[in-house]
Amino acid sequence: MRQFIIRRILQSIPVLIGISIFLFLIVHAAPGSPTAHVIDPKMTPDERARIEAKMGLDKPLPVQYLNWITEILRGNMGQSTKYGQPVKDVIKEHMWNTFYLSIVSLILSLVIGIPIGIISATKQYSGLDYGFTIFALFGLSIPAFFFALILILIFSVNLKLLPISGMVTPGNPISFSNFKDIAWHSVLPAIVLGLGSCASFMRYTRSSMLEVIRQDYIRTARSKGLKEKVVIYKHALRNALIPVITLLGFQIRFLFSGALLTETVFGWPGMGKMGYMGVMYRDYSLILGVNLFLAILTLIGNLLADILYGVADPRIRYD
Amino acid sequence: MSKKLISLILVLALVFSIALVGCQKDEPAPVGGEADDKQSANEEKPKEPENPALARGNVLTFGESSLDGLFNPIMGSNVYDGYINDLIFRGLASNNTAGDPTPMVAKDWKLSDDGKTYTFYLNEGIKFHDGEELTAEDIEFTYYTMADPDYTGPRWSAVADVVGAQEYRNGEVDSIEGIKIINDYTISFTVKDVNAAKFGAGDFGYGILPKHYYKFENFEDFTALNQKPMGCGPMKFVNYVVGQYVEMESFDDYFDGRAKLDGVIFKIVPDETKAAQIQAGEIDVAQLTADPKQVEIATKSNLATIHQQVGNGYNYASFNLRLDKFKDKRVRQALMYGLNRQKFIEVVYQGYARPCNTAVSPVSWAYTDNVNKYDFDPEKAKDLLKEAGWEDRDDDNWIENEDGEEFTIMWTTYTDVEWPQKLIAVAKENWKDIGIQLDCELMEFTAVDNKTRNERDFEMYNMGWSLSIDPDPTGIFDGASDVVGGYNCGGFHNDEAEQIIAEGKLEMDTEKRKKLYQRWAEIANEELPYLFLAYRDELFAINNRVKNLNITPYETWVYYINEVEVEY
Amino acid sequence: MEKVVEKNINIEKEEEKIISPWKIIFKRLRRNKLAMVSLVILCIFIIMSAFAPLFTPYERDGIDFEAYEESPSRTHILGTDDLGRDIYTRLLYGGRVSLSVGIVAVIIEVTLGVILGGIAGFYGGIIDSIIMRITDIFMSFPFLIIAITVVSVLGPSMYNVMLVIGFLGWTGIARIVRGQILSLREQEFMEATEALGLSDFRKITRHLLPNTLASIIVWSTISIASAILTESSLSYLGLGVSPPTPTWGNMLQAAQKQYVIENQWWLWIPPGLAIFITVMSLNILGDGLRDAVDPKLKK
Repeated sequence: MRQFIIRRILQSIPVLIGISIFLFLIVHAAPGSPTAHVIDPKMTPDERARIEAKMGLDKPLPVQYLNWITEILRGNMGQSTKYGQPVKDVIKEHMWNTFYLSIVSLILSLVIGIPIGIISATKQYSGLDYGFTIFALFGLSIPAFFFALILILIFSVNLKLLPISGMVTPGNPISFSNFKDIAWHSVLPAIVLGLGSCASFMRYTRSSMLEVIRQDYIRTARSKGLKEKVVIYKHALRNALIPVITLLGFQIRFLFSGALLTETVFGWPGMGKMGYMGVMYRDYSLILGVNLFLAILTLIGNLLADILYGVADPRIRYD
Repeated sequence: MSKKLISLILVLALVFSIALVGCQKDEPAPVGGEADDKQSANEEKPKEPENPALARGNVLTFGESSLDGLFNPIMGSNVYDGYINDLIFRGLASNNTAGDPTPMVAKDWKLSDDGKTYTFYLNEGIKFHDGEELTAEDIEFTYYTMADPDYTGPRWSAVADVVGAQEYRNGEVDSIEGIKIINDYTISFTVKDVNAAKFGAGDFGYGILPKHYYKFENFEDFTALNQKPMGCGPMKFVNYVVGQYVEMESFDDYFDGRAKLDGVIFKIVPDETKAAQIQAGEIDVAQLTADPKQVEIATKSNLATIHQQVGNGYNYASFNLRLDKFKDKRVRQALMYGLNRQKFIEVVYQGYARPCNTAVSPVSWAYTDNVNKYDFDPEKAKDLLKEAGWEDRDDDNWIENEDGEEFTIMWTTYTDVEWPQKLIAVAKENWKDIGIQLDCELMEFTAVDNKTRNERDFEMYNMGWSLSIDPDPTGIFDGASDVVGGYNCGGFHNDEAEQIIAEGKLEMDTEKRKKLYQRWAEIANEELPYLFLAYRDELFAINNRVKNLNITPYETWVYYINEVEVEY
Repeated sequence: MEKVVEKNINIEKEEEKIISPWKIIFKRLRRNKLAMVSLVILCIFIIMSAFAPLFTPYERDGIDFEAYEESPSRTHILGTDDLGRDIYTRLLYGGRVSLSVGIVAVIIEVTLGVILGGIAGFYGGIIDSIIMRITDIFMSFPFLIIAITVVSVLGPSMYNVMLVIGFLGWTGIARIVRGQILSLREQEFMEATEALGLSDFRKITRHLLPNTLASIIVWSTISIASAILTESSLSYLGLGVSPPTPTWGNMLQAAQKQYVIENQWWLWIPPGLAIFITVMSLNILGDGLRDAVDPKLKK
């Protein structure tokens, strides 16, 4: 296993180089440039060109790439043109906001999604199963944006129970001392964010549980006279969760990448909205920085999923 | 059995949650006597609505869509960052409702007889937020920074015409010849050419940066202060929580007296719920889009009133005049006649916009009503097209030119705002009736900007302009701006207009300038470089606890911050 | 060599041929009433969208300033939008884009994902490493900026939306298929296929993939929903289908306003319901199909 992990980490190096080259090319291929957001007839083309040259954008692409990657290796992610701050600081400011919201919603969706998936599977075609299925499909087919707006209208605007938007009440800091305020603000976004993943956890757990229950060894276990609970939770569950674990590995990236639409409608200062603004402003350093960061997380997440696979199913050999 | 019940409950819960939102509608609908009774019952007890905003104390909360966080008057370009910069910093001069320059940091100024040297006399005793006094050196520093070789902000144009600025920027000289400190409270700027539009363009309005605080060795030290601003304005910067709010408190030693408020908070609120937050009293002031539905929501709780004004700008759709089909002005006029702008504005804006027929806003002193109104007239449109050689030659209801080519238009648009998509839907139907086939491509804003301004590879595209106080159209309609990256994207050239633009800059007499620009407005109306669409109203929703918040097209509310009061 | 192998298994194949497996599947599916209802609903949706002009007297983009924002009535059974366009008509035409984007994008995703995931899982070793690292790269792609670039280069259209969603979305199913095959290939029945000397292609397509079918079906039905929704968020970002072409997604997106939600239910419930019913039917059908293909399930 150790060898496997080391090999994977070594493999990651060319993969990361590939990703960085691709990212760099796609960012520069996108129409527009970092000065494009200054819509001002007083901004002449010459002045634009001068400012872009100051950013080093007048050099040939390979040179720009090498400059960028050397700075990255030195730990310098560059300056964000939109936020007027070092990219590192911009990411730092946003990533924990996103992480907090994602982890809450992830836990929420696991705690709800997996058990109801199991119940649905063990009671297949029962009223309960259909009820949960309808609930899950509702969660999958309603756009997050729309669902969020409806929740806001009901709970914030009409019932006045919860704040309409934001992460804190203006004047309060984003810190542990202000936890109650933040928790209050995160109720609706966490529900919206959790609904979709809860639904897919439920569906995957259900289907893979159904699959496993029909396997021979479960029948054997049953015929040995084991209690149904033992059969389900000791023998079946472990195997049924393999596909779910794969999903979990993917979530590592999601924990930090944020959800653009949910963050937008709730005014949550997270990575999704920030990355989106970076793209809209063609803030090259920021887009590259954010996506490289997320790429590394993706690789870690996939590696973790593979390791978890091995733990959950000892039959799998990696060679 | 019980399981079926649970599933039934789940389904019902879903339906109910939908109904809970949907049922809102039924209440105000006065159908039949019962509903009428309810309404009159409501009227009988006109209770003063509880205003949750009162709990926020003597602090004004302004809701806005986004902040870049560039809190530096010569670095930021976003309107909202601009509000914050205007509160923390103050410039040499400001302007009044009519758009004429008024004293600010400078108490007075003088223009030399040749019209090239501006001498500013500063108010004495102005203090920055750290207690240091403002002197001519700070003015010099601010304008030198805009000309600094390493400067990457958007304000070079403010000093570009100062004698010696270009040489300084090229690193050829150590000082700018045209900026002279005469004494601690007097400074002069000498420009290369007379420019009557200089004040109106806002060149002397940029906030003054304290030299002792912002002085830098390399430019990164300067930008490092982007989120730690310090100036001499009425509000002191306290805190910025990224993506959430900016907190400011009143500056006790502000040279024009301390504000009546204790502070101002800018809360970042999503556009989708801006009106809802006004309705709930969560914010005191916000600008709304010119949409009657937004207004209805914002005023539903009777906590807020709407301030409505004609904006200093207009929406347009630009033609690519380089294309043969748009070269003939009769074709452009036909497209104008053939589009039912009046009806579109009536239905979509419902009183919050009016048809626009030229490139000058009714707000401007250069506006003239003496223009063709292009009232909807499909027959006239067809006649004009026929004159220009476009008619239906093969009875397929689409018009063709002599070579048998059909008239098709590709309209490029973007999604950030909603009106273009609705307008295109109308244009497609309207122009179908005069035999023109319209298609649309929807892209992201910067992509549209790139396609039109840099690549200039388009047929039509729409956008809007917010104009500066001075009506000088340089940069948008002059021939020199018809270059790659310039804003004359459509490629408009007109000799008379060119002459007016040149003359207008040299003419110092406002009455004569007015005549010139009115003539320009007539030319624009006749030649139609753009398909002029609408003057949108600017709407601000203001909580009833806020008093004396004045807004005019040329003066944002931050100009009047000292007079603003709130109940609490 | 190949031919000999074929002959060897002809014996077991002969037995199957008596009733073809597809017939069995369909027979089983027919017994599942809910699945059949779903199938019928989907067919109705597809037919009504494909032949939209037959089902409505109105034109797709026909505006009517005399009848804007009207609630449902006899003339406009689902009311009109803010330009007086008939909602029912736009719903029919909107289904064309939404259904085809959802289905085509997912077909692209599944084809790519299953082929690559299957190969990776079966062969393991270097091939697995290479394919999975490619998957890693694709998973790291920034969706938004790629979509912007593709649209600016190729122009905005329904087909480009399908391509973008399809080519960026196959990684999930690839990993799932590969993971399951990694586990399946170690099971006893694969030793049997080894002993029979089956070709790799047969091993993968006949013996491994059918065992992953359940996951593939669940994943696909969920993904169609998400593709339909992605199309709508793409048009929110200016990268989708150009107006005035309606899609369920952009109709719903245009109704995302407090005023509309509170006062004009006919603008958001119909497209929302259309998406919901489609997704629902697809999932129930998917469940039914899964049960029908599962050889272990005997009723």
